[in-house]
Amino acid sequence: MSTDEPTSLFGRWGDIKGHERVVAALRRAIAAGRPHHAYLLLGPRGLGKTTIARAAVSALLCELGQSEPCGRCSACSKLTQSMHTGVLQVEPGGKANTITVDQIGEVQRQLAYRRLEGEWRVVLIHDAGLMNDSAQNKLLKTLEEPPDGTVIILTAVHPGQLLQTVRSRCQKLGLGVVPVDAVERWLVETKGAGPTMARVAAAGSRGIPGTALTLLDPEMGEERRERLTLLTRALAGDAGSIGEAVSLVDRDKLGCAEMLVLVQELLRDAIARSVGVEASLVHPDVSLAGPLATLPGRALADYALRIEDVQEKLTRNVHPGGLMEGLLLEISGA
Amino acid sequence: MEFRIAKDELIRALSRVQGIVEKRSTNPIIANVLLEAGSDGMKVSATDTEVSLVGHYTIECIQPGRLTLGARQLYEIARLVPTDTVSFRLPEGSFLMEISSGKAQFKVLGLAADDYPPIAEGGDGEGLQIEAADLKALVDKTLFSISGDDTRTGLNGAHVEVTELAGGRTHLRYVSTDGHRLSLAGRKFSGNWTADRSVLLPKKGLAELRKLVDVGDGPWSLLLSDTQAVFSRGSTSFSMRLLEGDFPDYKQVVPGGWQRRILVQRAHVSQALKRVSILASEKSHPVRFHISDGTLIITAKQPETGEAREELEAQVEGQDLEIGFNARYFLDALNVMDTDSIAIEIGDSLSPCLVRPGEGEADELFVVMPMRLE
Repeated sequence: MSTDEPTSLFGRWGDIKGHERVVAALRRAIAAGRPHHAYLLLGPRGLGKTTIARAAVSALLCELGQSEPCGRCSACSKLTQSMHTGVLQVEPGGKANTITVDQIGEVQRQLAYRRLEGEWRVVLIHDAGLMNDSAQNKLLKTLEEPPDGTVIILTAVHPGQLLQTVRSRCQKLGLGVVPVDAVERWLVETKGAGPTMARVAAAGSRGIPGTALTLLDPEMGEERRERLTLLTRALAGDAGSIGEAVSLVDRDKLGCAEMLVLVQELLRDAIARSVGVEASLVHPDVSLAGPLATLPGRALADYALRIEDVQEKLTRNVHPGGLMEGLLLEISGA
Repeated sequence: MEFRIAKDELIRALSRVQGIVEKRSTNPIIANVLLEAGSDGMKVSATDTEVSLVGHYTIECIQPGRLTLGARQLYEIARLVPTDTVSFRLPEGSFLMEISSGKAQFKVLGLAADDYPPIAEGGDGEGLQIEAADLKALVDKTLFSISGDDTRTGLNGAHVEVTELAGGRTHLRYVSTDGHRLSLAGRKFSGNWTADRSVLLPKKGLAELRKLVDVGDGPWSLLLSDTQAVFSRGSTSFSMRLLEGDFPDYKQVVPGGWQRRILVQRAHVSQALKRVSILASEKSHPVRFHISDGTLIITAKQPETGEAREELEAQVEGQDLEIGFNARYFLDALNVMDTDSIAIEIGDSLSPCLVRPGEGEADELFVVMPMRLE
């Protein structure tokens, strides 16, 4: 690496894995100096929404305005150190893990001022789906009439988390999953993973680069294996394992959501096995027992749909432990 | 960068900026002051990105340079150092400022000066000049009626413009409104207005400016850039970021004529309003003005608490009328007026009411919208 190479950047297009169509659309609009006033980046956690948003921020604010942010100009330097006045970031916080009306109010207070530096000003709302309704309603006013030179970028897991009125005022950019072999190559080529680790992590990632990275971490990999073993026993009807799984996620929405993904993966493998497609298993090393080994593919697919139901309920104010218990009892009792 | 500064001078420089720097921001450099040492002295700047303060101080400069340092920490150091002179030295290419005083030594890690937000600075005598008393009056007479709602683009600041009055005089005018009342005040100035058109100044910035205007005397200079308004006097520059948006055409709101006119002592109305509104609802302070047979009576009534009534000595012209007001809005305007007598000009019970000085030629008026009362 030459010495004048930038050491770190707030974001750059080159950091993004996959999503060529979305990235091309954004780059084109920014290069032409005509970005949409509001973007909504949609897709599961770990897919690269924030990476794309940060690259867009860098590209908008970099003073050289080249196809890739330069990393050397004053704007790039300030961005990297969180010192640029042209970017306002909002993320969920507090006990309830929400974005409140006060946070949106502060954004509006800042936007009322003229820009201090640069051609653009960007508001980055991370996990915008966690805005409560009053925060979303307050944001509407800004989405309808943002000040000149302002771009608002929202990221969210589900479009359903946002009010129709908010969604309709944004250009929606849906991110699809990245092909598993592309994730595997990416892990080897840019993240320095060994070929075996990369294959396992990519298979477990379900096409989500962020998940694949987490799986590379040996500790996370170990915890995941333990949870998988626990869940296979629970799904086979072992009462003690059901109790343990429930107590693990009892008051933890995020933990429950992660465990639901594991159940989903096991169901997916069970379906693949029931129809004799063993090549694309997520967990080829896990042997299934009980209903997962015996039920026909169609019944398993019904349960897979039930999980989406449960995931939806989890976003509301429902007790995670109760949801997990109900699901495990239902499948294991089949 | 290397310089020596008197302890008192350093304390003076840093104490003034403590109220400006923002400690809770996610932007770490905002908690710092920017020190710029040169052969003509040291410039100390502080900002929270909304308002900024720049001052010039006397130093013995050995080697010019720039760096930002934590404002709070530096102030504590300045207050507690043991000797009357403090030495600062920043080795070439380093961000670690060495501060020494007697046997006490500190090494304080700073952030690059280039990363500090841009701060506009005006020179004394540039742009337009206005007397401190006049600037103070302009702010006082308009600050209170600026809308507190940040989403009301155009109303969330004081509109500032240069207006040509009858007779060829020009005034610097401040106008503000929150949709329920409007305040307007103009004062003479010299020099040049440096913007293409009017600007909108934020409430917070004006409140900070007001504190500065009270200290010391002499005229202030106002210099405008695309993004900031800079008020300066002597070696101090105070700047605030301009607001986005356009102020509405206020001249349309100001009534051009009247059907009823009341000339009354300001203190009398003010006291009567305070007394009567004791029995008005605390939410919107509704009071009723009764103009009948050449008298003015103010009443308030709440079925659950009772009623109050007061007749005022006044010169009343025009036909009988009952009109409702928020007493608070009236009192806010009366509070910032200077004359003994005031004129209240009313159209009908639903049209805006004008309050202006009852004597003199002051470029000043207040509009209060009436309330529909049951």
